[in-house]
Amino acid sequence: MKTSPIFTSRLVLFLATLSALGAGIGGSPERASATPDPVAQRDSSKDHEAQIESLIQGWFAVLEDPNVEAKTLSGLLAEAPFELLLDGAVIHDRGALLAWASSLRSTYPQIEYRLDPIHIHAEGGDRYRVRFEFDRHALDDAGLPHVVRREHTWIVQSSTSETPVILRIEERPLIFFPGTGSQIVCY
Amino acid sequence: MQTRDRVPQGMIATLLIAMCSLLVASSGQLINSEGQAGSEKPLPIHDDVGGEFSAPSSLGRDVSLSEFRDKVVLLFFGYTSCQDVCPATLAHLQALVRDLGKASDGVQVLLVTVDPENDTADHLEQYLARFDTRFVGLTGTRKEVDRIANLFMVKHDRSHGIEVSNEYNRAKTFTDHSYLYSHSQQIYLLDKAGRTRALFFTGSPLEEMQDAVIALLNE
Repeated sequence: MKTSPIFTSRLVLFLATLSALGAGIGGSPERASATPDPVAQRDSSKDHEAQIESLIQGWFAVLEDPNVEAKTLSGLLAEAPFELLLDGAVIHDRGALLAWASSLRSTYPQIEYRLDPIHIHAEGGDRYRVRFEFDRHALDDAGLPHVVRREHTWIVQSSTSETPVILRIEERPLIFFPGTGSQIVCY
Repeated sequence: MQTRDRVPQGMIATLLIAMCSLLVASSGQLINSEGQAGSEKPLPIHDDVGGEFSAPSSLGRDVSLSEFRDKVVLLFFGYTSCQDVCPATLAHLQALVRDLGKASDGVQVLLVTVDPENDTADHLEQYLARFDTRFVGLTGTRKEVDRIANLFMVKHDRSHGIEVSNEYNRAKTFTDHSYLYSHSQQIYLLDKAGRTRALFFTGSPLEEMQDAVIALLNE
């Protein structure tokens, strides 16, 4: 079983970010201003996007790395309620999430995720909608490669004072072969 | 995990990535960007696409995919009223099967109609016999056909009164009873266990398709 150095470094970076964000809770004074500062708003938005990207990379890094306990995923979720629609299953509690992650790991000893660009849109308040596509390349026990292509839509809660958390993930299978989305008209 | 919008920065990063790739490749576990594991590696299994199905067929009875578990299956969606791409695809599959020679005994071509209202089992039998009597057509109720199409993520849409703009199409006469189907055009290659292993098109090189079919026959 192999772990890519790239994955490991991403995971370490992600965990360090989580730790730093956690340590900073309640520590940063709020700006006392009646009118919003456009520069500060832009910077804040970039901060949120970076944190959300880190959250997403952390999620997949945990799934990829067999040396990281699956329960780490629980820390990325909102306390309650949350909803994960993964592999056709509807997951509402942490026990079911761990069972799902364990099943995935036992089915595929080696997994690699290849993420397309991540699109983040502010939904208002502290909610963000995130959409991206990815390929999951996995090897089973027999060494056969398994490939899926999927779209994820996440709803993330991200505020200035707290680490972003996942409220919802919806997964949709996509056809994965390049150029196969087109249709033809037969006459 | 890889993010595809990241570009390696500088020669050191490039060298590091190249070295990592070489290390992984030398371990025999590299999966390339097409999802295939190199020429000596098996074709990937595409878990999200396909599944077991059963439907009335040109054999005069219901057939299920599992009946062909000892064969490599080439699956295509189309309809018999189609005058260009569908027959061209079937001719392509006909040539593929012909060139395989004796090995074609281990191959089954299946056509699932997207026009079950018109394509009865008898009609499919007569139509497919023009290409190869071993080809099997599948039909059924609209619900049955749609279920199979959904398994393979096939889109299809029946349209009336399509506007045409070129000379070829202007020469045609469309009546109230005429219609067209827009549908996905891929040819699915399924292994002996009924799992989707590759996709091809009418224009896919026959040699490439034959290599894939033979690889699955030898599994």
